[in-house]
Amino acid sequence: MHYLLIGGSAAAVAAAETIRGLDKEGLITIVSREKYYPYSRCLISRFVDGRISQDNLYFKTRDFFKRHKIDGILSTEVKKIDRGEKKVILDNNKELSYDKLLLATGARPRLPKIDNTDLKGVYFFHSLEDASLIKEELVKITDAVVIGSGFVGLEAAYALARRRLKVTVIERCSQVLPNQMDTIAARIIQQDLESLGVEFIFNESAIVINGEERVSGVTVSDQDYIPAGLVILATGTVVNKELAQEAGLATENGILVNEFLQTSEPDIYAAGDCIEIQDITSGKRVVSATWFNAVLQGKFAGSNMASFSKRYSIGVGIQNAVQFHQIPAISYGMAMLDTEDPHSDYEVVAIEEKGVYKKLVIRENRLCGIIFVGDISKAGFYAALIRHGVDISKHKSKLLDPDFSYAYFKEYDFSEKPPYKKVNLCWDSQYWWREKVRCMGI
Amino acid sequence: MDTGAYRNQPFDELSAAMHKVAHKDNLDTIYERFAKQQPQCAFGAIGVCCTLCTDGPCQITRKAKRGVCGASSDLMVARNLLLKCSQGTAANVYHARNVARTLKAIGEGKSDYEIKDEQKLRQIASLFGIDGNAPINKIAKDFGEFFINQINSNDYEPLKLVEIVAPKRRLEVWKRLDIIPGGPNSEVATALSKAMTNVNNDVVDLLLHCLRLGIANEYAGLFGITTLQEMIIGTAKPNKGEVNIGILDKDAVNIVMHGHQPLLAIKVLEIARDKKWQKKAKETGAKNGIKIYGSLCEGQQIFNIASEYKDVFFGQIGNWIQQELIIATGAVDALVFDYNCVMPTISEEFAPRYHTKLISTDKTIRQAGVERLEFEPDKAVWIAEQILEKAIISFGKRSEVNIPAVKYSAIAGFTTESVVSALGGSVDPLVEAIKSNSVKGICAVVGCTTVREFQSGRHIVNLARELIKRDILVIGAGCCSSAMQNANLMSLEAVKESGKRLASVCSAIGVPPCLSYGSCTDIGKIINTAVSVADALGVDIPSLPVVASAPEYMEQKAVADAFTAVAFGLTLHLAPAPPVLGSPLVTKILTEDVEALTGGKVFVELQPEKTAGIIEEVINKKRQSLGLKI
Amino acid sequence: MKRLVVDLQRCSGCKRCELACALEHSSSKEYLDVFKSKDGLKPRIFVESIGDRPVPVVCRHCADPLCVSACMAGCMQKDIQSGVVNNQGYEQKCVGCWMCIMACPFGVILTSSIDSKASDCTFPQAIKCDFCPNKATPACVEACPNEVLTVEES
Repeated sequence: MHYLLIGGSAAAVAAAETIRGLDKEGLITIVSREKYYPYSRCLISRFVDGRISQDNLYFKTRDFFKRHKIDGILSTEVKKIDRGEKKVILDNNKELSYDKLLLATGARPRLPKIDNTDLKGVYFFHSLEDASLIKEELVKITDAVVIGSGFVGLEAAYALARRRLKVTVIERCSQVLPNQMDTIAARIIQQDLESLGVEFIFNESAIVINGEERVSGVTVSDQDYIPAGLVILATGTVVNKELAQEAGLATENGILVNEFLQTSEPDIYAAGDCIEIQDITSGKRVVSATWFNAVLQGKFAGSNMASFSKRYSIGVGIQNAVQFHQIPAISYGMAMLDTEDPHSDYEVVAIEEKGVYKKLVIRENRLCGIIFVGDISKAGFYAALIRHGVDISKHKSKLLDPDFSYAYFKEYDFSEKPPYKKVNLCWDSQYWWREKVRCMGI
Repeated sequence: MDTGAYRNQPFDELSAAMHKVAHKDNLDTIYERFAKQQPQCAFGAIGVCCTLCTDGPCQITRKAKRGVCGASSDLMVARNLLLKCSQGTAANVYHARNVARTLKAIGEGKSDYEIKDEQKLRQIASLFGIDGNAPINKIAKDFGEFFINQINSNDYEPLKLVEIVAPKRRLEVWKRLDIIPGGPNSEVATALSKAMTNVNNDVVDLLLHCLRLGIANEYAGLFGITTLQEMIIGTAKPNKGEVNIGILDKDAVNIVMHGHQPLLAIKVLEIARDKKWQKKAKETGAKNGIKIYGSLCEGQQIFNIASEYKDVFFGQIGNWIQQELIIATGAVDALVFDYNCVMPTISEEFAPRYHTKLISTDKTIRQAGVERLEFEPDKAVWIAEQILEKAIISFGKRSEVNIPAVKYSAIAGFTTESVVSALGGSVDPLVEAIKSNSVKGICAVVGCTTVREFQSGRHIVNLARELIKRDILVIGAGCCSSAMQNANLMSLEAVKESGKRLASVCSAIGVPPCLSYGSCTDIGKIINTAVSVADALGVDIPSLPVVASAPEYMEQKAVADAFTAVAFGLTLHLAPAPPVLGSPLVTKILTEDVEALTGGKVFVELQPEKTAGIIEEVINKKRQSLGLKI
Repeated sequence: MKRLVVDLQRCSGCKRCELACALEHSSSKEYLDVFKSKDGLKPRIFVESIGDRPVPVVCRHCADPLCVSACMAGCMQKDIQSGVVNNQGYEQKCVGCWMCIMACPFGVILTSSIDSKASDCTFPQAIKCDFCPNKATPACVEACPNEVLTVEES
């Protein structure tokens, strides 16, 4: 059995490891466009600001391919898939055949419609390649501009600010992280970055990059000029679905897959940032994002490819965990709803006090989204309630109490063997006060 | 287990509304603090945790059957119980001594007070060998001195207070058990020594000492407080007043008198009547002048005699659990507290957040940063004037005011004398009603409110409702009174919720089915009434169809009162479970064996309906043994 | 494979397990030092409650751990021999991204704080139960006075 995995990041590596665990003999090949050993794209900001070295970026040890007998082909792009012949054609015109194929091609940064993005000093913030170049250049720079305040944009801004650059972030919407946080959480995170000297300009889309060969600055709204030796473009991503499209597989915004992560061609699977998933919290289909989803999808796809059937049914679109400077924040699920939003069948419960902001979005007695800022303890427990659609009607008034925890749901094992021994009837009854001594067995 | 019910919250809607306000202002109330303390250690809860010495703290566990000193679970439990009982007794005696000092000062002409009930003073004093025909001031001085000497006497000299006032049948029982106490402070000192590490390991002796303290608690404590206070401020008379948080007036200077000692409060009421103070208040913008309210047991005691103060006293505002919520209204201009049951968060969190001026008036109640105007019998007027002055100034500092719009009313002011008077001069009508089964029996529902077991008044109110449904007359005292008043059970309309027979008796006499005797110190008066009924029937107290219940007891005075009840031979219901379950021996003694000694015993039940059922059973059994029909 | 088993009805809620865990994982192992430190006590076992019933919530060292899948740095791993899931002691280093906290359905992973005066290379670490690698029996099991926690080998 020959398994061919296109892509060298989270999804592909997870799939490869899973397949090897199930099939000791099959051939596994990974083909990656980048020249680097599989690294964690999410950590490149920490590499740019010098907190970690390049070696720390590799999320698997350097002997990973050898240990799992994976044929890892780097610096190579797949040009075309031949579904009929079950083979792919590489950019060096070599051919590789497959029995099962995985598309884990991810996404690439979107080029915004701005002039002069081809000047020197203008970068994306996507790959280790970008990060290495930025890291070299920034020693000579004092001012930088980041266009876009999504996750990537803020990571870039934070990294540059840590390196003592004067950073200005230009954002099209009226808040930072417009697709991940609501206005209150966004304000708190914005203030966290402003405490480092980062400046923000909102509601701005008329941007022009100035310079001759090298970028010298950015003009906003045809009037304000911001000097900058470095411009980071962080205006979103585009799914790498061309391969799939050309091969005639079903795509829309991303590659379409069924619950076994198969594309419209049964032997071709897809996982990671290149696919669309059904978001159980909003009920809509979205392009998958986040490392976590990619790893899980890779594992499920790998399992299915190795003929161990596993249904991937709980996909969640919005999942973010972040701490830029001082303030940790997590958002999960359908949490964008602002309190004034006229969706009448959603209930919002929120508290904001002493630097902590917690918001829960509830619909039909089920939690469907959370935002925690400042205090993220037990966020995963709330996320599990969302994922498993647990009925929380009995605990509605208790949800944000400090003593609300997994204990209230100890009968739910969340797919893991529970550690609790069976309790006597007396522990569970209203007469526990009387039976304490016997229950405790003193 | 119904996990849905596990959210600790206020029981009545006014408190719930104020709880939301406090929450909005980012303040933790008792409810949040209770949640944060969960889970609380079960070793402590069942009484097998001992923190006395540096070889501890020890618990009795599966691994360790004894503490380091060798104490067994029985000993730990009994020791802990004795310590709490000592504290409670000492507290009540402290209060009694203050009243006795004031009485003495009146006699010496060094006070702002006078004797309101001369007749009572002469009569009681003469029981102890003081000439009842002497000038009243001399009697006051001598009796005050006598009482103080009794309190300070040694524990090896039996209290004259007990030997002379206690019912003969009870004295026999106590003599047989050798539990007639001496001077209470000395008894407490001996008890503290007994409960030290490695002193006494005779569990029965420790529990008998608790009974001694219980008796001392009654005669040197509760009896002293109630009787001597009646001599100075008058005896309770039934009167109607308003209750619960909604009684505050946003257009008046609101002064809340909070605590347990009402002597100063009465002076404040008298001074506040003066036109000049009302005028001053109106000039500051309070168009309804000055209004004074009671809170906690102090309020209940004022409420009892409030018929003469209707122009300045405007009701009982609440009980222990509600105190933070009262401040959260933003409408309390001055909170004057003395002694007992004041939460530290009042001075540390709530008063600073809202504008309330705090004044402490007893040297035991000091809180950091709070102004002290400590009571002396001859400074009462001056202190009262200071209080009014500062409250008026504080009125000007108000900001947001949130007063719930609902008011309830209740009738208070019951005591042996007023019950007798309502009955037409003797207890006979009540005795007849009991004999004929129109009133099945009497249950005293007394004591604190607690947030444990998520009660906050629920058990008290639901129990009272169940009891009156079964034609059992309810007498309330302490925070229980407040809880029942807040639930409209102490008004005349409450007969609608009671059984038909009780309803007809109450309507005929014109009293509610739940009688408010007042504060927790007025438990002494309940004992008094029980003694009167026992005497009328010619029996000892254990034979009476009378049961006591402290359905939400919380603090140490209640432990002392519990031993008082058991010493007097009453069957006592307690909830939540006292910390004795860790020792099956102590549990058995308190729930079974002690009945053979004093006639009294304890039972624990946490569900109000079941409690009422058990109480009814006990009352029926007692009726049967008296030959009364059930 | 090792994991903790909890005999729920024996638990008194005394929280000695929490205390022992926090001390075992502190550098000074002295109660007062830990208590006064910036983070205070950070146990990796939690005595939660249902109302007033104590319920210890422990890391299960899951067979297919979600925290391992969520970890972006690759430092959260399940040891092949012992089955213990942990993010310390491997070549890959934790960068405090908190994805594991978002993933764990039992809520047993905590943040720790950075000392802002420390050098730039220190990341706040995610902390969780590591089954006390330096001890024969985990600290919580040793400290429990009522035989609530036991180690199960399978």
